[in-house]
Order: sequence, then C-alpha cells, then structure tokens
Amino acid sequence: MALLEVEDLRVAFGGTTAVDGVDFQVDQGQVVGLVGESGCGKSVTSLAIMGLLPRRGATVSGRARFDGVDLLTLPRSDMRRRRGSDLAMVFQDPLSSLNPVVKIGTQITEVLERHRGLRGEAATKEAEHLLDRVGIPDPRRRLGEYPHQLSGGMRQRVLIAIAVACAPRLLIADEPTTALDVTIQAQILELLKDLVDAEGTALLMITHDLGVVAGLCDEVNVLYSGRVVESATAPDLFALPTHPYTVGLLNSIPRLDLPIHEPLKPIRGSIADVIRWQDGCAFAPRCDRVTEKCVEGEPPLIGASHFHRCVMAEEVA
Amino acid sequence: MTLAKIERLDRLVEASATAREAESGSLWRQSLRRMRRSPMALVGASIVGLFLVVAVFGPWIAPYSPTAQSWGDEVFLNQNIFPGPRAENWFGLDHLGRDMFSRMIVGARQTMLVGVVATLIGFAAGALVGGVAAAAGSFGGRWGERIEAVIMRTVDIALAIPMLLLALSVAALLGPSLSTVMIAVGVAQIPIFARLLRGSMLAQAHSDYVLAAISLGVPKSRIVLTHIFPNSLGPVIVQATLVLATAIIEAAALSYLGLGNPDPGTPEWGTMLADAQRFLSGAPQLAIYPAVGIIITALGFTLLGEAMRESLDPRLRRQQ
Amino acid sequence: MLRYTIKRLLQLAVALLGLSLLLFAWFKALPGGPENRMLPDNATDQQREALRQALGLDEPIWTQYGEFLSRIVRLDFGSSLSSGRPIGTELAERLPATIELSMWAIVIAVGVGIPLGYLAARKRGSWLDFTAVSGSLVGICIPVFFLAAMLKVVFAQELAWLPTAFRLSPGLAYTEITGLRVLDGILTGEFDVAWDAAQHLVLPAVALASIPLAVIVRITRASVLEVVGEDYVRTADAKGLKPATIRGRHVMKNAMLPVVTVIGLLLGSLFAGAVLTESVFAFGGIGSFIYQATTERDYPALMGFILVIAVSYVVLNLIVDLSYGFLDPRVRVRS
Repeated sequence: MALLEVEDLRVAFGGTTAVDGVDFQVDQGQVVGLVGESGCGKSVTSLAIMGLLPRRGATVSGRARFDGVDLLTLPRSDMRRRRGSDLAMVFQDPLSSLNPVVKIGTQITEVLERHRGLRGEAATKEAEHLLDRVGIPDPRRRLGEYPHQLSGGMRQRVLIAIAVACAPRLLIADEPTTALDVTIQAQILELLKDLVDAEGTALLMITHDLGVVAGLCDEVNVLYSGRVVESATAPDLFALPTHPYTVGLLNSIPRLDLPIHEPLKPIRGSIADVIRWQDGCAFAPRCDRVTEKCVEGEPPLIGASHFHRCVMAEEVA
Repeated sequence: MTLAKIERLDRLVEASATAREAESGSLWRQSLRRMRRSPMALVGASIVGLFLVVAVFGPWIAPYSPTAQSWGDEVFLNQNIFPGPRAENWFGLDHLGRDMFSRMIVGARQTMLVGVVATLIGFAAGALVGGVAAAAGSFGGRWGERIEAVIMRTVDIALAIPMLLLALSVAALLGPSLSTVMIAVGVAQIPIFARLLRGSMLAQAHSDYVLAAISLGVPKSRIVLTHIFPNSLGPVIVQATLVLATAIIEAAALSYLGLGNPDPGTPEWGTMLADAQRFLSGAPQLAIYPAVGIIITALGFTLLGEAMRESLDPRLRRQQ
Repeated sequence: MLRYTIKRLLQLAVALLGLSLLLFAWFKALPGGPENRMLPDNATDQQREALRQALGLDEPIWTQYGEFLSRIVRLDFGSSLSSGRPIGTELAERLPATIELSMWAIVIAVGVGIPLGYLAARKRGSWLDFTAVSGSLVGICIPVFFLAAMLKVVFAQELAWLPTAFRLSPGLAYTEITGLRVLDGILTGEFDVAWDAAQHLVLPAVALASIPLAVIVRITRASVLEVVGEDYVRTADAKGLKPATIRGRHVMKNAMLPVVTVIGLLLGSLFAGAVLTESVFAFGGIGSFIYQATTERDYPALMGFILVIAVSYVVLNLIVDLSYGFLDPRVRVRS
C-alpha cells in the first residue's frame, strides 16, 4: 500500500479554484516530483496535505490518506501531533522561514521537545548531532546564533535539520533550492537525497525545475492549472513526454545537445489564460496542437503506467 | 462545440488581459479605485465633505447671529441656567445667551481654518526642510551630506520635544490669539513632515528610474524637482490629512491652556470647548456640542487619511 | 551591544546639547525678556539696566549661553516668577505625582491594549475586532482634557463613585518614601493610604491612558496580523508545535517589536496629556504646575519644565532603544 494517497484533492479560495482534483501517490521510501510553473497549485497541494492552509478562506475537499488515515478529516490536535514527526516540510525561502528573533538552537530543540520529549542537555546534544548531520560545521556554536548570522545555504540546512529531527516518514520539500545560489542548490539536493536514502524517508519534491526532477525523482507528476496532466516514472517522462504541456516545459529548457543558435521555444501565453477543466483542456488556449476535440468536455486521464490527460496524445506521438 | 468556442475563449482571455493592463494605470488612479471600495474611506470622505460644506456656507445656513446675545436677559435673569434644546434654539443657549446651534454652524469655518492653516504651515516648512536635506544629502556631495546631517539632527531634537509642548513654547513667544494657535500647532508639525518627506525622497533617490535618469545625464536639479519630489509626496499628503485631525484637537488643547483668544468675534469649536469647561457640571451640553463636533471632524480626517495610507501602501496592496 | 550602547549615549549627549541651544534661543527670543516681568511697569531705565547687569544680560551671548548651560547642568533653573521659589524645587516636589500618574496610565494602556490588539487581530472581522478598531480611532480623536472633564463629571460628581480631585483624601496621615503614594502605602503597611491613593488615580490614569491605549491597540493588531502571515509562523505550524508555543515564541515575540518602539514614542504625548489631565483633577503634579505657569506666562518655569520633559523623553527613548536591542538580535549586530 502507498504511504500517501492523494485522491481528487480540491482547494478553492473564495471563488477561485487553486487545486482542481489532484490524484497521485507516494510509496514508502520513494522520491516523487510534483512539477509545474508558478500558480499551477503545487504548493497549495502540499500545504493542504500538511493541513497548513488558513482555516478561513480555504475550502478543501477530497482525500489525502497517510497510512490509510485521511489527513484532511483528522481533528486539528491529532494533525498537530503528526506534523513535524510523521510528516515534515522544508520551505522555499530559508531566511523568512526561520524566526529572526529566536536562536537556531531553540528552533530545533522545540520540535524535539514537542515530539520526542527531549529536554535540556539531551535536546541540545541531539540538535548538535542534527546540525552535524546536515553538514554544518561547528554546530555547538551555531546553536547559539540567530538566523541572520548564517548564510542562505546554511539556513536551508537548518530547516532541513528541523524537518528530519523526528525521522518523519514523509518529507515534503517545497522548492527547497529556488532561493539559493546555483552552487549551493546542488549541495542541498545532494543532502536531501542522502538523508532520505539513509532513513528510507519518502520525499515529495515540489519544483518548477525539471533538472531537479531528472536528478532526484523516481516518479513525476506534472501539474497544470490545479490538475495532474501527466504522471510517469522519471525515465519514461523524459524519454517520451506525452502531454503538450510537458513537451513545452522540456522545450523551454536550454540544452547542451542542441545547435547553439537554435532558439528556445517558450510556451506562449501565461497560466492565467485558462478554461475550466469541466469544459475542456485547461491548457488549450496555450496549446499549439489545439483542436475542437480539446474543448469537448473534461479530458480523462489515459494510460496504464504512463498516464496523461491529452485527447490528442496519439497524434502527438 | 466548435472552433467558434475557442475563438470566444481567446477573446475572453484577451479581454481579461487588457482589463488587467488597464487596472495597472497610474498609481493615484489605482489608489482612488481601491478607496472607492473601502467603507472607511467613504465614511471619512462623507464626514469631511459635510464639514467642508458647513464651513464654507455656515454663515448663510445659521438661523441666528452667532455673536448676538439675543437671549442674554433670559440667561442672566435665571442665574446662569442655560436653556437646553428647544424649538427656537435647537442646541439651546450658551452662557451669554447666544444660540448654540448657530455658533456650532458658523464655528466650523474657524475650526477648519485653524486646522488647514496649521497643517499648511507644517507641510510647507517641513517639506522645505526635509526636501532640502534630502536633496543636499543625495546630490550635494560631501558638503551636502554635512548639511543634511545638521538639518536632520536638529529635526530629531525638535522631535524629542512633545508636540503640545513645542506648540506651547511657540505660543508663549507669540502671546495668546487664534493665529498663535495656528502657528504654534503648525510649527510643532514641521519636524514630522520634514522627517517624512526626507525618508520618502531618499527612497525615491535610490530607485532604479532615478539611477537611469542620472546615467542618461539628466541634470540633478531637474531630477529632484520633476521626478523625486512629486513622487515622494504620497505619504506626505496622507500625513497632512492625519495632521489636520491632530491640529484641530491640539488647537482645542491650546485654547484650554489659555493660549487661544478667549472669546473671539467669530466662534471656533476649540475655544468654545475650552470656555465651556467652566460650566461643565451645570451645563455639560455647552462642552459636548463642540467636543462632538471636533471628535467627528477629527475622525473624518483620520478615516480618510488611514484609507489613503492603506490604498497607497504597496505591502497592503499586494494582499488584495 | 556595548558599542551600540556607547554610540547611543554619544548621540544622546549631542541631542541634549542641541536641545539646550534651542531652549536658549527660545528663551532669548521671548517677548520683552525676563527683566520686564521682574520689575514694576513704572521702573526707570536705570533700574532696568541694573537688573540686566545683575542677571548677566549685558554679557556677550556665548558667555550667557555658557552660564545658562552650567546652570541647567546644576539643575538650577532660577526662580518661578509666580511663586518666587526655585523651579528645581518646585519640579522635584511634583515629579513623583506625575511619574505615578504616567506609570499607571502606561500600565493601563499596555495591559489592556496588547491583549485587545492581539484578540482583534486573531478574530479579524468579528464584532470584537470592529469595536476595538473603531474604538481606537475614536479614542485618538477625543481631546484629552474633555475626556478627563467628562469622566470627572460622570463618575466623580454625578455617580460619586470616585474622588473628584487631589491625590489623597484630606486629613489622611501619610508617610512619604518614594513619593509614589500607592507604593508607599503598601511599603509602610498603610493600606488605607494605598487604597485611597489608588481611588484618586483611577480617573486621571484612565483619561491619560486613552491615547496610548488607542495607539497600542492599533499597532498590536496590525503587527500581529503581519506576523501571523510570516513564513516562520507557518514553519512553526509545520513543526506541529502547541498553539501556546506558536503564539508566545513565534508570534508575540516578533509582533512586540514595533509595539515597543511606539511605546517609546508615546511617552511624549503622555507628558503633554499629563499637563491637561492633572489640571482637570488638580492632581498636584508637574502638569498642574505647568498649567499654572502657562496661564501666568511664567517663562523660567516653562523652560525648566520643557527641559525636564525633553530630557526624560530622550532618556526613556534611549532605554526603549536599548531594550529593543535585547529583543531583536538583528539590531545588536547591525550596529
């Protein structure tokens, strides 16, 4: 059985739909990517799973079963006990995600105290050990420092240390490298991979960067306008991208194996140009291969192990 | 379900895109649009509007003369019992037998004058001081920076003196009168306006478009006068609206401290309120009318100013 | 932190020197000069000149400033024109009353304002939020002396729940230690004095608290609203921490920073408000004295008062700034 099963997840803020029926799975110890451009609903999906959406203003429906337990209907106090221990999250901006007026040490030990009952010297020892594990030199000294005294990469390491402090079974990383320098990005990805490999933690990687996906993920789900449009193993997806949106994403990445003067092919329009999934393919207004068939109602998810949501897929292939 | 539908969709997308573009018109127009939707702004603007109408047309609206002691005999003969509201005098009579309603209506003009003149003094002098400091500091080289430092330290020192005390010391220099109150309250506002305009101008001076203008060789004086200064006025205008409220309240406090003209020819709410303190236990209504007038007017300007601030604040704007 | 403190102390010294210059200029610019106030109207020019010499007014201006400076350093502000007593003594005698009143006003404003602002933010859009926000807007717009007078009429005169004026009921024996009477009463065990003094404090303290309270409610609300939207609060939530931990360590610790700054800035309007409030309740603090000095144009007294208030304002703000340095580690390093 899958560790996390997301089924028909929908999130709306007032009248606007951010997530419009997302389905995917994460197995024990697996690294799964959730890919799409900003505004496609990938971050909202992760926040909904973690129960971190604002109570007022956001309507969530569907199921997100973790070990068979639906997280979306769990009482808030139960969810609070699971957050940080069973499932943990690493956020995008390491500077704003750490409390500027609380020492690094406290920000780590408070989660150890809450979920593992560690206090005093035992908690400090463990925090030191955690910082050491995420590759921060001189951890004892760092515990007494404040976030602004650390570099960006170091802050992200601290956030990762906090996230893995209680050995979660699922780690959600929401664009963990976007705010960092390119050289640091690779280090952080390497660290994440080492940590999940060592502990058998499942990792849900949320990113807009197909490069990250290629290097890290076992399975990939491509999101467009709040719905999964393609889902496959990473090798399959890169070998045979099927949905025109996935194709477009791949074409808009600079590549070394193409002639130098070959222009990049961006996807035209923006994510704001959509139609509702009920009426047809939301990508249709931006798609080069659009036909009448595309707007004749909701496109189904097609396929056996490599799923896609394009009625014209056969012609594309 | 044909291509026609896609075309329709395309048009829709296009329409929404142009709508978005139009919305990002000028900063001021955007702010105005947002303010029209804010109940705070509407209430504030209505109060201010009503107040302005009364202030301008007061003398023609008022049923009686505000200064004639027409019912003087009645008040004096009854040993200082001041009749309350009645058919001929809606707000009753004051301690000299004058019609309170007429005094309130006519008094709005002086009150507005006190507020507006005080604010203009603070605004003009503060803008000059802060503007010179910012311009000197940004473009005046090493000497300019020194000038800026001297000006701003002086402003900081003046800020350390509570506003009412600053007004008090100015009033002490000039002797009691209504113009003293205006000048005193106005002078007390100078440091705040100076700080605000300088901060706002420095923020503009460090922006990319100013850098672009400098690199294009636009003269510095021109950059300051045609770009930086006008673009920095937003927060200062907001502050001016808020200061109008403060000025009216402070003016009343100065009158209470005996620095206003005790009973000027034309009535003014602050002076009326201060005067009425003598009769507070017997005839609280004499104080309550001008007090309520001051509170509501100050509230109107405050609401309007706050709504303007919110609509101009880029951080709040992003949230919408 | 030490360097930060030293830097702030130096700034303080410069500010105080500047202030003395401003005050000296102000004093020199007063209409007529002090000698006219001290002599009868029919004084001869000779008498006038003699007095000018006695007062040192014929000396060069910088000598006069030096003299002025050395006198205010020795807290010698001259004699009050109306009472004839040294102004330093007058102020020192009345200072405890004003300190006691201001302290209670701040305690009320902070004690009510911060929780109310927090609740308004957490229950945004509720009737509580609406009441708190509109109440604080109105609170800023009410002239302090009017509010004080109305409180006095309603609660002291009409309902007679509380005393109308003064700091203690007449005839009550009282041992002075600090001059803060509630505290003294408790220290000496004269609980009747403490209780009586507290009753006398309620109305003036409430009136004086009105503006700081209104401002603190608004700032706290705005600040909490901003902080709860911050990423680090989401992180704290993602850690599964208890709501109390999130509220205390992650929300309030950050939300209090702007509130502390504003409390420092409010002290100025608090002193000004004290002048007005004390005069309404004949409270016998500096405020009452200054009300009298203003109405009687007692310039030396006014000057001494402005100096004392400005110095305490500057010093209090230094303390606020330094405490800010302890609250916000970023300030410590930046300096």
